[in-house]
Amino acid sequence: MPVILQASDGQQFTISKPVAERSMLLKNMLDDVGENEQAIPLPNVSGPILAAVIEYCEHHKDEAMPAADEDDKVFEASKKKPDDIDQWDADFMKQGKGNEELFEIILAANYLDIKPLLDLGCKTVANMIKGKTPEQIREMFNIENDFTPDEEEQIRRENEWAADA
Amino acid sequence: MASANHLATPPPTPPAPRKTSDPTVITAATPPIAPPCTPPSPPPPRSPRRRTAKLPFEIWAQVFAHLAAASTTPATLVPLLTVCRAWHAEAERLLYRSITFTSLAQRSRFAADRLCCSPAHRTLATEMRWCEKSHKDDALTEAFVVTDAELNNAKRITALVRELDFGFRPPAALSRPVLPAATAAAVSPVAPTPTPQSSSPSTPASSPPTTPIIAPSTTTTPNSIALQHHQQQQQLLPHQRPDQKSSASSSVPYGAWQNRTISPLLVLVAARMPNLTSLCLAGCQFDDGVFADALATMTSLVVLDLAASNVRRHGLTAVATSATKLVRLDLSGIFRFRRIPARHLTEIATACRALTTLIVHDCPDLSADTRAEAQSANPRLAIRWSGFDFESAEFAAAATTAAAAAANAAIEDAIAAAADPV
Repeated sequence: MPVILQASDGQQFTISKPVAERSMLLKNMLDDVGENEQAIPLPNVSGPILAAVIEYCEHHKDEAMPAADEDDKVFEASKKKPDDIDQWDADFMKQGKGNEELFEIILAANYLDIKPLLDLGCKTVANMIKGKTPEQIREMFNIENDFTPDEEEQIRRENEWAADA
Repeated sequence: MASANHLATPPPTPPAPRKTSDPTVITAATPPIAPPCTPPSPPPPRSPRRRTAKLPFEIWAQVFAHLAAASTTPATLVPLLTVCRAWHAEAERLLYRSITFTSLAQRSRFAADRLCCSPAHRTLATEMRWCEKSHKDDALTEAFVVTDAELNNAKRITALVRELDFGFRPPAALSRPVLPAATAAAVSPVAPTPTPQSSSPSTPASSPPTTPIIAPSTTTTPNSIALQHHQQQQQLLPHQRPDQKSSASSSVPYGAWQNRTISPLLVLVAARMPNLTSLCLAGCQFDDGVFADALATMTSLVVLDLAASNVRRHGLTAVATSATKLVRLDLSGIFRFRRIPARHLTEIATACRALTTLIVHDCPDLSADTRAEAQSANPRLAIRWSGFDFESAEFAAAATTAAAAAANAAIEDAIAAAADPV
């Protein structure tokens, strides 16, 4: 039984149930509502982003679902390194995706509760941040610097012990 | 079958274990339905709101956690501190949560900048050569006053530290049990001091508490980096003192003997890190009295590593009296050369009721009787013991069995080879 998803812009996507169930949100919904020919509206996700998310779910549809309780301790659980991203996943994240799209995919993964895609997105951003200066990071993500130069200098000085290990 | 009006819009937040039908949100509010299409039609123009997608803070926090988990050096997190205010606190929490010193320059700087804030501390810092005496200090000797705000900020930072590792965890030789079958190769001369003694790769301090590690781990920990560094520079004379201990260009490796004396630091750590849960003093040299006082203030400590340290009777008594919340304790290399009476082990096992893992590798002085006694004092306790105890009946029996097994295997192989028609 196919599942129909409708993006915020009205675009509709017909996908198979195993693909839809990569999303815990959709899985729980389908479990509750049962078979339904009506489109499921996803007002927080635009068409192009939903298409990308579906592409990811299609590729990973046969994999075992991650354990549900593992997001308790993000710090301990994320032993896996950001570098060890699967090649397909890395390509998927790279293909002509600017920050804007990357962020939207992360937000969609968060909203649809697709933990592996959320992790992949966060790791991708982590890799982008790695080795950059604060100025470069601000520029990359369009973040406003709300520190005074004095504050910035003081923080930098106080943490020098960590900067040159 | 439910009609479109009863199909609820998914709730706006992701953790939705059970969907609750919200009658106020109905599909009628969504745009008109376009004909189904697979694959999708070209995207329509995106709304301006979408152009300024921002990640909510909890997602940034996940990004930082990934970054922290993947880095072997705290330097990775430092740039995050000054990006913007919203990031600062979380980056700071991750940066100070778990600290492993990997160089003397780094440790001295941490001590001077983060542990010293009162005038007395400042004097100590210069005396200990954690930092160089600045002209500012000279000029302000009389009027050197730490404001409450400064003091509170300093305390707030150090209170973030949960795990502290001085970075002298000995190489795997100590934590690797010697199986009788492998004795010939694995028995290495045991030095009476905690100097890094072999070139085997170091095992991460957090090795799983199940079976003993036999295969050397190749994981690169900050400490193994320090040790590799040490091994590369071992040809340097250990008594070569740098002119400036706090100088970053020190030519003496961090693992060198003179860097291991940490009593003054331990005083400050005890005074300023009330939330410490894990302390690794492996391979460190300290005064037992200082250690005992420190333990008395570290009320949250659950993991303590004293492997190959110079802890003695007074210190071990302090463990039994003060560190009663301990869950994991490493005393590898402590019970050797009849230096420490084995009764201290029983004392600790009896007093520390929460203890579940006690690691005592390389402790030949702990007889099977002593271990059984400690075990009976605390039935939940898993004791991971190994010792180069050649006199024990256990060792002899195991060696005989292993030899017999090897002989049997050889015989069986020979029979199998002879019986094999091809």
